Amino acid sequence: MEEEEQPEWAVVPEDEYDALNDETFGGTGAEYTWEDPSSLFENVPKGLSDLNGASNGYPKSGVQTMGPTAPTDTGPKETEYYDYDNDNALEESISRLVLDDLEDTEDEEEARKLKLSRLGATSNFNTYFMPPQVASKHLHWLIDKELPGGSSLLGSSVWSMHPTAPDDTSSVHHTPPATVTKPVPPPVANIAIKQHSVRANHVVANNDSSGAGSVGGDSGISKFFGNVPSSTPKNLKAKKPVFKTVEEIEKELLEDGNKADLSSTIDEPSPIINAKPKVLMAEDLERELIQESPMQTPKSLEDNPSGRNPLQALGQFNQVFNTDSPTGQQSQAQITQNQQPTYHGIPTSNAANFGPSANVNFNSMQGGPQGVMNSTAANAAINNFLLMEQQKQLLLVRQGLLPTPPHHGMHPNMLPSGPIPPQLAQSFHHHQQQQQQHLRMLQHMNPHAMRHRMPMMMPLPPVIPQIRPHVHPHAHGFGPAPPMSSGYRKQMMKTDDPYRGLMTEKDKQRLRNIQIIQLQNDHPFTTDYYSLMYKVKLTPGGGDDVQKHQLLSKLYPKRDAENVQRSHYEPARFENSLGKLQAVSALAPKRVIDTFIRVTECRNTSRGGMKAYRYLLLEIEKLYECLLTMEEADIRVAILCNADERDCHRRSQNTEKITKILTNYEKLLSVLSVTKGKMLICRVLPLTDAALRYKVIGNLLDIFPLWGSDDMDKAFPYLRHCILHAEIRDLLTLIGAVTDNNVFESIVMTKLGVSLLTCVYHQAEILLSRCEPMLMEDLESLWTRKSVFGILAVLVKNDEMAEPIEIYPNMLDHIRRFALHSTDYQVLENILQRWASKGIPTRQ
Amino acid sequence: MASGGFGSKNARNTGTPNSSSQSSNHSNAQHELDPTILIGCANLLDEIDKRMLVVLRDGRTLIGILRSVDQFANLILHQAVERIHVGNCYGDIPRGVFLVRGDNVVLLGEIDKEKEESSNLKCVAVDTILAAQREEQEEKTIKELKRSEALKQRGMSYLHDSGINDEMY
Repeated sequence: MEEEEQPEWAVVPEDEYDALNDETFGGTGAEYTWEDPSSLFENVPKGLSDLNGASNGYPKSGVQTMGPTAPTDTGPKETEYYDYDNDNALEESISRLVLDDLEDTEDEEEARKLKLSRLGATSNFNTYFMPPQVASKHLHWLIDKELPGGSSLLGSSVWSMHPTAPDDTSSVHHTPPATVTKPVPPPVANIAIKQHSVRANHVVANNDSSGAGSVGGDSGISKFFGNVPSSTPKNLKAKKPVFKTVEEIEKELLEDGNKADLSSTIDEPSPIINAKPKVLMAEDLERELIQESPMQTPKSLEDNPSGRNPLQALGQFNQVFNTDSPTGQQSQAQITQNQQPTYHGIPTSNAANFGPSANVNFNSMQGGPQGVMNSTAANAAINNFLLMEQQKQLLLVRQGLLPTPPHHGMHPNMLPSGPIPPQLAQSFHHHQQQQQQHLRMLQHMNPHAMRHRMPMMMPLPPVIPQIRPHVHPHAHGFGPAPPMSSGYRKQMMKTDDPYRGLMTEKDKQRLRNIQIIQLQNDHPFTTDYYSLMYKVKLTPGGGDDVQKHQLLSKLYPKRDAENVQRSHYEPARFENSLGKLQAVSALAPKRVIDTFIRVTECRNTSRGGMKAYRYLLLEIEKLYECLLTMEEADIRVAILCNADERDCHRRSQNTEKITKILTNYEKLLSVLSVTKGKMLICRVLPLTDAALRYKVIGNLLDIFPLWGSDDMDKAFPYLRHCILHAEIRDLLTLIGAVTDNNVFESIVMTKLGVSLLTCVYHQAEILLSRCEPMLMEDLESLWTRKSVFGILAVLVKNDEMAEPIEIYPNMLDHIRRFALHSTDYQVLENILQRWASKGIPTRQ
Repeated sequence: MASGGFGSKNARNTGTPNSSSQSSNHSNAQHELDPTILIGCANLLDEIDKRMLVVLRDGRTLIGILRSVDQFANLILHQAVERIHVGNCYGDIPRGVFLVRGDNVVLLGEIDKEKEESSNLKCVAVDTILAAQREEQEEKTIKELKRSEALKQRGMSYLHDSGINDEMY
């Protein structure tokens, strides 16, 4: 041992472990020291104690049934189930061995007993893999007195999916815990350990008989159980194991179920449950078939042609092995005494599922062994035959000639009616899982491969040629299956379609939501075309055209026959859009940006007309960006308490760019030649300096005929804003531009012009009414000099004057101020009234 | 889409106003209970993972397992074959995975396996069916030419169908 102290729970290094081999694996094992388990675990950390007993997926307690010598106050008694794990079990067994070797107790006998009880307390013998040498020593502890089958190592826990609950000693199969969701496949190691244990049992038998320990010999369980060691406690009944086929188990279950119905008591354990099913993996079966020498085939099988009805074959087969016939009983005995555990899973169960006409009779599973089968060849032949029949059935199912059998072990009619005892349910579950496993294996088996594995003497199932579609030489057809997650695997198990479920529920729900959103409508019965048309169809007579038209007019109110103007096209416009949508159709040809054609004097136009035009458009776009930036900066300055310097800087930069354009007359003209440019200028004006602003407006009024038109009504709010914030001097600047005859005519003839004019007078009246009397005379004289009267007179007398956008009530006051003729006043008043009657809004 | 039809599984309209109102009441009640029930809407989600027959605008017929759709009714067909029918025979050209744009679909419908197996159509090799199709097309062209000639002789102009159409529908 090492010098430094090792904790008791420390794993012994390998060298020392090897050194302990003699003690742990030796024949005498006299140097075993058994400690009081409670003292042993005093210093063990909780984690390791959990590891030893609680983490490896098998019940802790249960081996309290070991015997009277086992201390009753050791170990937890609660039954806890864990998942079975081969590796952990092995590690645990090794760790236990290490722990044992580190213990020193004076009382060896007591220590041994305590150790055994500890083993029982911390583990279930059903899943505790003792080395054969150890097992041979403690054989009597391996025999569970409650289990009629004998050795618990050979009990159902080795074979079954779930470890046996030692408390539930009346059943081979115990109720699986709620936490165990997925079935645990019968591990191959179980079979190996079974072999070891069988040998161990045999060794014990030999030891007991001969007193010498030796390993080896044939695995003869019956032989072993015939030589029960004398050290077995008397209260332990060494019962011989009963091996039964699945049919027998199922039959017993049915009978018990019927009995339960009659007696209405299900407390007593079913005798079927005590039997242990034979389990044989498909691979093992195949191995046997390959290794077996020419076997004795039953006559019933030899006489049968290969292409017979599978149901008939199964019925015939069952008749051979029917319990009613004497030969059947003997055969049953042969089956039950088959030392090779066989698993008849799907074939017989599926045959049962094909209906009562299948004439399936399960062999009874009553009684003990009645004889020993001489050879396993017949059973192998039976298994082989069942495999063949199963393969045939699968082929027929695939071709749709037979219904797909449900994946459960029993025919529904054969299940006992009424409440099913838990043991029965658990056995069903067990069978079901095994059947499913076999079904999966066999489904993926190629029937041709199966044929090759069949022994030559056996009649081969008929190979039904599969009709394959002609594959195009350049076809890229069926690729490999995608990597599947557990969810896909489950889907795959259900059907033959491995790609099922590629579209997840989430995607589907998303589509449904999209449809729902598209269908959301406040007035579905009036605004949904399909709903409307359906309504029309429902009306008696199918609905006439007038009714359809009426309904459709509700649907599209703007598209009445009166309003439809095919020549009029208004493209959709969006706020803050730098461009217009380009809708292409037969009615509205492509229009990029409207251009205003103006006739100008012949001058040296810029070179490259189209290029210049494009450059102009590009410049306008850039100016728009400046405009938007300035507007945004203004908003930020107005809203935020501390205006960001960047906003101010940005604004000032953009203002400079705009100013360059506005101050350049030529540039201004070119920009105003584009509709977008006109709007740009009008929107920019309120953001510029006052001096520049009114100068530009004056220029605008000066060239009003060039840009002023009816479709520029949108620009009025911006110009009105500028005018209403103008001073008298600014107004004088504006009025000065109107005096030109050409300008005046175009102003009077357009809505925008008249609106601007009236707005100017309105503002003038306001300013004049506010100013002091001292200044008023000066302003009035100034205003008079600008021939306001003349303009007003012309305005009044002009019958072709356009209607303004707004009416200002103080227009009359303004005229009265300047003492126009009464007739002019009257005419103007009439005009204003006429405008008001037409619904033109009055601005207060 | 032909698969969806007018009305979902929950809507049963018999055509008469009374029954339709009752059914609409019932369907409305159901709609209130489950907002995901889309009454009166075609829904391709019910056809997922089913073997469908799709007719395209260019006249092609595709048969495949519908794996996925989207809001534009774009389809993903798995193990798709293009089926060419000539007379009583048909041939399948395997195409693998097909992505079909929704606006190219004329109709689609689920294939009844039993009916397909019990149909009188004969499956032939691809080369055979292609040759047959070529012959059929040539015959059609000759027929159209003759027709146009006959109509021309009778003083009517007729633009015969050359048989090559980008869009049949």
